[in-house]
Amino acid sequence: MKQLKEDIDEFPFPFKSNDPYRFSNNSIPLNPPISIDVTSKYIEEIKLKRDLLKTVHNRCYQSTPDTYEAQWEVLNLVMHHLSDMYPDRFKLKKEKDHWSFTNLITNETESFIYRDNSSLTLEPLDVIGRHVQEDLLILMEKDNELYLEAGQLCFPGRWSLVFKLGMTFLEIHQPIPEFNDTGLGDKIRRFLLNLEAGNPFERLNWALTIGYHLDTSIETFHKWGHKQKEVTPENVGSLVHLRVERQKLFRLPKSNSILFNIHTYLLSFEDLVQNPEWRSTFYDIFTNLPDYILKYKGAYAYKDTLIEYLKKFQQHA
Amino acid sequence: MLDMDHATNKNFTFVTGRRKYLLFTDITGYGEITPILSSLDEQNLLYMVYYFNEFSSNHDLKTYLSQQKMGTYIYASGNWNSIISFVKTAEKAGFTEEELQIKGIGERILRVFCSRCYAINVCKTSKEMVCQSCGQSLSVSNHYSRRYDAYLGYTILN
Amino acid sequence: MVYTSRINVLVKKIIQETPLIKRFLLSPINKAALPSFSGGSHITTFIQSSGLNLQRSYSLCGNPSETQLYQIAIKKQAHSNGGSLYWHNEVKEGFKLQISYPKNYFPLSFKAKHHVFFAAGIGITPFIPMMLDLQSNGKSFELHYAAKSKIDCAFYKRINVLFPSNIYFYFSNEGKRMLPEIMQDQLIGTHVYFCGPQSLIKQFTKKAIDYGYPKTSIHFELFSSQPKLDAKPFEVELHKSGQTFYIPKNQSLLKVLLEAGIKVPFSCQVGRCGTCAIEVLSGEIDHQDYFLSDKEKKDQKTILPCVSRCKSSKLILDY
Repeated sequence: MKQLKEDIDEFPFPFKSNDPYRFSNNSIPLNPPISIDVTSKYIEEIKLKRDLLKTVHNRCYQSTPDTYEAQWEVLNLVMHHLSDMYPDRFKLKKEKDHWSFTNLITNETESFIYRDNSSLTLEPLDVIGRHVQEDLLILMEKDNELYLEAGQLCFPGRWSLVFKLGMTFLEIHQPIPEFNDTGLGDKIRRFLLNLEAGNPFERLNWALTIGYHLDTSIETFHKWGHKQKEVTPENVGSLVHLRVERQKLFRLPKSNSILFNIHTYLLSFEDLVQNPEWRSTFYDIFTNLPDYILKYKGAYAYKDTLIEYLKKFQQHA
Repeated sequence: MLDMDHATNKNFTFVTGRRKYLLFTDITGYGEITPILSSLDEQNLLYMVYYFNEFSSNHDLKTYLSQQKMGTYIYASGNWNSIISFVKTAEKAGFTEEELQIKGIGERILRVFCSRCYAINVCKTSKEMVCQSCGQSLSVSNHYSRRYDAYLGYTILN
Repeated sequence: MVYTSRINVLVKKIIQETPLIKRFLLSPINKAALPSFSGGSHITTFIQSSGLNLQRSYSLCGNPSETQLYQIAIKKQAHSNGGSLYWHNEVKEGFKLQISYPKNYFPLSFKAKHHVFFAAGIGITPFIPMMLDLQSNGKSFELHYAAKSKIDCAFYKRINVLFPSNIYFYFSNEGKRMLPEIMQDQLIGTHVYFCGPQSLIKQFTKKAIDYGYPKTSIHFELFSSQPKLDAKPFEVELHKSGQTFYIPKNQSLLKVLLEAGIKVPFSCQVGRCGTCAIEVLSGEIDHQDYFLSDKEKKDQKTILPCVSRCKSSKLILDY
């Protein structure tokens, strides 16, 4: 799919220099400290999210009863950020505990009593998640450990919310090669435990994926997994996409939990190569990746085909 | 829920500095606790030994465990079914990972979570299997969930 | 609306709690509400006036669900390095300042069956919202609270009103002492929490471990960073710039660096949060923090300059 210029402008290219890429805690302070980005793909992606929530709700929404307080904090934070940053698209009216949130893009209004679970038909996290492109996850801090206890996840990068629910931070990341053994996992875990309200952080994470598909759940791998074998020198530019997740971290002071949200962006390589700087940075980094990272990032099967494709442009440059 | 994955292959280590030790076992597990018993005797520490079947119900066991004071430490070894049920009761009574070691005896049934349909399959050790519920071929990983007490089975493409 | 990491507040009311303790009620300026918080949280207060730059952390001692007012209580410290004296002498009703969002390095345990709090003097502050949180969730707890006398006991009346049972006071002028033996016969699933002077925390922690409490069932909040009693001066060299500094025995390495204009990121200043960690190239570190793991301390490669010092005569920092 050929993308519009604005999609390319919005794309958060994740590589800053020619430093070789390795797994690390690449979190930086989030500035401005806003949880949500509304992009030109808003309507399309919200529709996709709602369809998934309708057809496979259990796969896309999970929570434990302990998370209500944190869910209300997420709803509070996101509604304020939306109405403050995009006042022409979102309105929030509050009269004491009676809140009314209007989404002018979808022409919907949510009216409810703040922190009264019975005033909403869905759980608070499931309500607010339907108004943003981001996937929203809640990590509860309990006895110096972080547990994934709630999430609305429609666009997973090859993982299952149902399976990971209730896991600790280190358990969640067990499949990442060398993450826990090297002590990196524990360092990031302690970084998260020290995350403070008022000082949110962000990081960019990346992977390669086939086709313009945001929803790469492992539940449906039998449907889309074979596509990585269909990459050829002719279609590699249009088929293979760089998938970038802008991840943001907010401490929620009342529940002392953490909001972890993920905004996923995709860009095909035929679009990426149009930017000579991105192309050459990516080429340098990609050709120096060890196999264990290539496998984890989903790129091992068609690595050579992609390198040959990029090389053509490198030589022309 | 205690991490059964890590509890599976570990041998008991002797923990000092507690005021009282409780040892729970059965015929199959008794061999595992004997080294602990000799260490406790050597150091002249207070301990008590129970067979799991001395408690007529989980409720009686929970009542007994709840009455223990801080500074109590538990070793439990026996067949896997008794161990899993015992751990659940001990956790309800207030014992934590730092106050408890377990050792299951015999082959443990492997539980595999199907990533396609969420069914939990029970099988003997294997790297690959077919989900009994949806028929999907699965590759059994070492990604473990305490919540399900199961390992993730990833879809194998045909 | 502008989002910042600090909140503007004004001192709405000052209440003399005891001859030495004042309670300050802070209300938001230009903001409808303050964030609600969890029991055990503190805020950092920032006061900048006529060349003065005070940054101090105080536990929140009001109701965690109250979003119109934050409450902090401050004891006038004879040997204070300026913070408590300024608050007691200069801060009047109507005074404006900035505060951080609430941060919690002293949260309640989720797995405890029963919570036992030990407070000495002004150390009572974090326990009030913690007990309110437990009470509203129907959880079991008890408080042991030592003070010089009833008159010197902050929140004496309020505690009696809020918490009708399981509260024990120990006034030394009546010859009563709060003893660690209280921990001895607690049932399994008990978590203990200490807040007060360092000597009390050390004594109670040691006793709890002797009784067989796992470390994860022992929680404490250091009330403020107190200079190590036997601290000695040392020298520091910054590897990248070659600058050297002398760290006198009564000042922290962090303070010396900050005063020299070196912008070390920092937050809690009591060796808890890890924000100020600096890599060390040579020299023997005297670790005083509660952040680094035992292994990291042994490795001697990282220092938290807010509390830790030097056992040899000189440290070389990778900075």
